[in-house]
Amino acid sequence: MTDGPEDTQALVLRARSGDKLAFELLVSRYEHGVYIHMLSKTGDPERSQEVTQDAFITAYTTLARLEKPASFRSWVIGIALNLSRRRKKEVANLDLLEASAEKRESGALAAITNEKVDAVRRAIAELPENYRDALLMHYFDKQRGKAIGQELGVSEGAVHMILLRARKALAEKLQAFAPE
Amino acid sequence: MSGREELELLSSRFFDGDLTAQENARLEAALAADPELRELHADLMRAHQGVAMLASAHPLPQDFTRRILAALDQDTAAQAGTGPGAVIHQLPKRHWTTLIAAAAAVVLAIGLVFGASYLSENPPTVAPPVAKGGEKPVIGPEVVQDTRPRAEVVALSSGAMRLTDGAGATSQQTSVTGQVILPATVQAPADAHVLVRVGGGTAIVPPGATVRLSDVDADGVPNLESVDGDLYLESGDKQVSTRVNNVRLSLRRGGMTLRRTENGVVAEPSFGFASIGSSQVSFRQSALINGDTFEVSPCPNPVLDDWAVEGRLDAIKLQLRDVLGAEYPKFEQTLGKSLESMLRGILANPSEAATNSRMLHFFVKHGWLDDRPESERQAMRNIADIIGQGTTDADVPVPVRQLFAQLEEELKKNPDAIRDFARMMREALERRGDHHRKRGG
Repeated sequence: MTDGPEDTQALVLRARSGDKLAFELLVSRYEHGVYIHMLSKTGDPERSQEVTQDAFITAYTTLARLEKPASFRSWVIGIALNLSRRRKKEVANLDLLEASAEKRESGALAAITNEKVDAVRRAIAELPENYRDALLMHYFDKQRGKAIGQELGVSEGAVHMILLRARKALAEKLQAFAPE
Repeated sequence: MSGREELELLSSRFFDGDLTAQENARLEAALAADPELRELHADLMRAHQGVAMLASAHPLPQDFTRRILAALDQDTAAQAGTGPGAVIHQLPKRHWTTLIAAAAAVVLAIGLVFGASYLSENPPTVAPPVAKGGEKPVIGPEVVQDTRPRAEVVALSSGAMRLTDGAGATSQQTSVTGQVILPATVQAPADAHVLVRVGGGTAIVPPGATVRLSDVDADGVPNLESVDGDLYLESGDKQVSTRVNNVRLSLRRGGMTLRRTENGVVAEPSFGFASIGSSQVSFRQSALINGDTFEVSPCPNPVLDDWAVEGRLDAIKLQLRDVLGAEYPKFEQTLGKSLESMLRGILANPSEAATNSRMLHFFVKHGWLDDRPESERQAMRNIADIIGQGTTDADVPVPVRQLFAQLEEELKKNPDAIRDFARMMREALERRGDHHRKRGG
């Protein structure tokens, strides 16, 4: 997708005036990035899906309160983080049960890949915020240099540099998986 | 910016896929000459592949956006200010582990049938799952120099379907594979679905309904037409055409339900690209076809009918029944229900169906079942085909495709890896077998 924040802003304004298709476009553009952001924080796919869904619903009903329409993505992530924090306590016990069930149900291939996937998830969570945002926007929101730059408030050239540094930092954290 | 920094940036941008030919050439030359840059490039690749793996391990369900919008509709309709907590139940209750884990689970579950020593110490000797068709029509006498059009047809049902070919010959059987003289009709039994595949299209015919196989548009590619009852039609990469009265419908990489109502035939695309007459229609729309006219209207909450999924499930069960023979009822009692429930979820989601189908093909191709009879390998391939009906490689998420490519590379370097995997799989199967034995299965 090549649409940038100007389009995001326009979509938010359209959605505010009741255009559901505009909101649908916003959801389909940012849902995976928001979900992975939450997953990197919680490590729980199911709960991350729930809060992602509910964050978009809350966003829709409170869209009028968004001061900077171009920052829609980070605003939704903020809502998702709040929802997640609120629910963390009430589902803590349930999580323990689910985690053990998950382990029982994992297949052989999952066992091969899970360790690395988990390491990547943890490594992304530990990255500096602008590195993490740039990576998630790039890989999951399918945004490119200019659009990412406008969201982060930097030039397109700086985005390439941030992505380089983010990849270096990530590779460093994944050193254990480097071939010998 | 120094020359070194520029090269590092090129190395990073390489993974964005947006280097010009000139930049690519410059990077290649630098990589060939500079071991440190090669090391950095390998590091960046590790990071890139790690994120790609995360994406493949944690995709969102394909209908996630639709679920959010449906939940929004409910929320708006309620107008009760119940807050976001009220819609949590919109999400599926089953665990969403990962696409890959799901695929591995299907391999495990289906693998129980093929490698399940717990069912029988001596696996049944099985006949080929479907009869091989040759030049001779599958029914009726062979007429020398018969010029009537024929088509290669696969039809599967868990009951006896009625096949009538263009020469008027009829038969009742559970599976048909081979040449059929057109135009032909297939009538599903009263209590079972039929899966029919012809000319790049696949139809699920619900119990009691009839489908016609004919070359409607005389382009040499046979079509599937609803004659009586409802019909679910799917296409892969090739465009598949059908018609209702004189209204032409076509489908590419998608699915469409044709439902007969008092007011006419309702056509509802469930995914992919569809056109009705000269109008493009999406999965959020439906068309009411009455006589030779039609009207397109919004269809906000399209749901794939259960029978469209059940038909494929029946066809899979038929393959399993052929493999297990007398042991099938025991399998159905122990694992049948959990496999069914897993398959239902997978069949209703093109992305999962495509991934699982290719995963099964992948394992068979790499010798996972090499110690089993060819008939079982063929049954596994048939099951993979049925699961993947109507999907194409494009339905497999890009990161998953990348993972397959990586696995292929790994296997080239280490052909024994598949044996290790088979061993792990077998151990997992045995553990599950023990588990089910303990539960009295």
